[in-house]
Amino acid sequence: MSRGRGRGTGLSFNAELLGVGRGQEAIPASLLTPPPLYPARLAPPCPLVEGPESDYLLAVRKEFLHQMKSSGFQLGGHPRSQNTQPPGAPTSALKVERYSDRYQTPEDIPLQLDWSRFPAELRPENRRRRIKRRPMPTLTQAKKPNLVSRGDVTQTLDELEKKEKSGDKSEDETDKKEGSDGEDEDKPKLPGAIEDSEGELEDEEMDDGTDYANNYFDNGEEYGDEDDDNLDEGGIY
Amino acid sequence: MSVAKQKLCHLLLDEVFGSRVAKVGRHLAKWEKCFLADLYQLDQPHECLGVLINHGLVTYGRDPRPTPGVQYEISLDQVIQTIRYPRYLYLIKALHGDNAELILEEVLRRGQETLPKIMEKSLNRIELDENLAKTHKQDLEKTFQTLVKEHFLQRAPHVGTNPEVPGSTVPILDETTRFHVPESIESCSSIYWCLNVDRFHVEFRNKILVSTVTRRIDETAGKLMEFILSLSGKKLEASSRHISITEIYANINKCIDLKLRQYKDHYLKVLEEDRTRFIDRVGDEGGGTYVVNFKHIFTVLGSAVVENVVQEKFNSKALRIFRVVRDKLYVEESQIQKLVMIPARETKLMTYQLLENNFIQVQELRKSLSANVVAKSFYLFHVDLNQVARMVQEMCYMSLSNAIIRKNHELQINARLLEKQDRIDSITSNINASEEFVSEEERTQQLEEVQDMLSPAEHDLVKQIRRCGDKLHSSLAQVDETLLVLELFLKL
Repeated sequence: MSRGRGRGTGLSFNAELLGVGRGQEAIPASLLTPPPLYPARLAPPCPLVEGPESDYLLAVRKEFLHQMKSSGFQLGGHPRSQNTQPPGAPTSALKVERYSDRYQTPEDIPLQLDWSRFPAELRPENRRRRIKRRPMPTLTQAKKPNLVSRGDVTQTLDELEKKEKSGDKSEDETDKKEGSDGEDEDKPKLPGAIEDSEGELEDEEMDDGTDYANNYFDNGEEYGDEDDDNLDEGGIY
Repeated sequence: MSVAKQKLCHLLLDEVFGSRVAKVGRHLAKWEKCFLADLYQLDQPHECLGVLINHGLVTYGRDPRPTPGVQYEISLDQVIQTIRYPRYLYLIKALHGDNAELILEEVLRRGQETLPKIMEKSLNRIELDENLAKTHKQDLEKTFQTLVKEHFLQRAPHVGTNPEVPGSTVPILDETTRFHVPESIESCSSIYWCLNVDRFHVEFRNKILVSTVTRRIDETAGKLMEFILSLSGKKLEASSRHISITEIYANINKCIDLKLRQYKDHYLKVLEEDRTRFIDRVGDEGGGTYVVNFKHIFTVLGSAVVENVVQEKFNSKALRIFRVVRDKLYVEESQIQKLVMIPARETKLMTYQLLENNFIQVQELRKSLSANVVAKSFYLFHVDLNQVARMVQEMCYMSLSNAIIRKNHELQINARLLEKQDRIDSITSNINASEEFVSEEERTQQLEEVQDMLSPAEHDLVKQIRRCGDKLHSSLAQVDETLLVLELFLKL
């Protein structure tokens, strides 16, 4: 064995010189497994303190949790009531009316809060609704005035297009004109009237022949708003 | 904000307010401060935030610059304090009686509420519940006023603008009217009241101190401590104000305890000279002036908690080593072996176990700065009590979480059985209440039939699950007691 090259022995120094002996005090073998999730206890745990105080605390806590459950402050299902059915059970069993259902308190008590005491953006009347954007001008809209003066075939096509338009329009106006929508539908639709209103629309947007002046800027605030109602956790990065 | 704490808060919120609020709470805890827009991906964040703010668990604030919106921040400590609600009720019941308990319970449930509503709800409950003693509205109102006067209840903050910063949105709490009840009840309809948590903690602190003195010395000394603490103020501070001996004597002379009146000087001396230093003499003017050094007392109590944890986690030998290290501040390993009088090998093993679990820390002192010189450095063991206390606090959070998870698990796997039992209970109570039955025999027969819906084995299982749940609930309360001492130690 050639000295000084460190061949043969794994270590270049003598372990015993460092005070690490053999046997009991040797370096333990390196651990390759994570520590156990539930390590064994050396001694049995102390018993819980019992007495009138702890009985009172227990009773009050259970009562409090029970009351909160039916108070309207509890939003979303509680784990227990959610998972009353084991995974294998048929879901249709839930729909069968039970005798005991009549003796259960209704769980959906509306949340009653004085919203004026909280920041304005939380108040129900200020909650942001999905904003409908105005329809963007399309190529067909811009060309329409020319088409009107053409012959029979184009006229019928135009009629059809107008019908389609009016259908689209009534869909677009949801928020503001919900009340007046019913009235509109009752009236007989005059083709001339619709044409007029469309002409106005085009005039406004196409005054200069371009739409450069219009603001189509989207600051991205509405992005991801579409399905904020039923998104589970996850997908937040 | 540690992971264990966040997890515990999520579980607690889920238990008290349901899963939707818990999700919002978890999100807030993760990011410390959130805008409403950050929460849009969750289900109905407005309502959840409303609930959390209502119960004082979330605060908000908005400066006009540089932030564009209102920021919400959750207070995890407040969330964990929801475990303590029963304890608040117990305390108030002991101090001010059943009416106060009733009022406080209403406030705790509603988070914040106006006086007329509290009165209405409490009176309703008194009428419905036969066990509660009948009281008049005037008595209830008087109790309410006492609670406010004693600072247990305070006005709830409402949204407003900081006058110094235009355009800001902050919760506003007027200090001048914070503990003021208007004369006429009619003008109370827009004033909301909520809990003043600090005041309760002052009471808890006093209670802990009195029981400590009672256990260390005797009951009379405990009473004396109570008198002194009643003079020490209603705020959580590191040290009380200066209390003159004449004030203490005036209080003692009012009481009927003859022993205390006779030996008051002796008892004061004993309190002063105890190794925990329950009171400190700070001056001789006017016969003597004392302060209560809460910081010091709770350091002693906190270390006692830590020592108990060491004893239970390891053994009494480890505790001896721990104490020696704490006493000597910085010691070498060989010194420990001499001092603890335990076989050397065992000492070594224990020391390193303590080190591994972070109960003691090691400080290296090098003689020379070059790294390759072996055996030229000292390794000194020491205890950083603050750090160890925080670690034990973490352990408490973990065990609380574990208890809740275990309870939920037990309930979930046995959900069907428990549901069946609930159904049986409701039918039984219905049969007992109904008057359809002609004879008692028929009724008992029917009851037996209902009871037979569960087999005896299942009955036993239900009982066992319920007992298990009760035990876990109790353990929550008792771990919280430990947590309270540590919290006071770290906070003061």
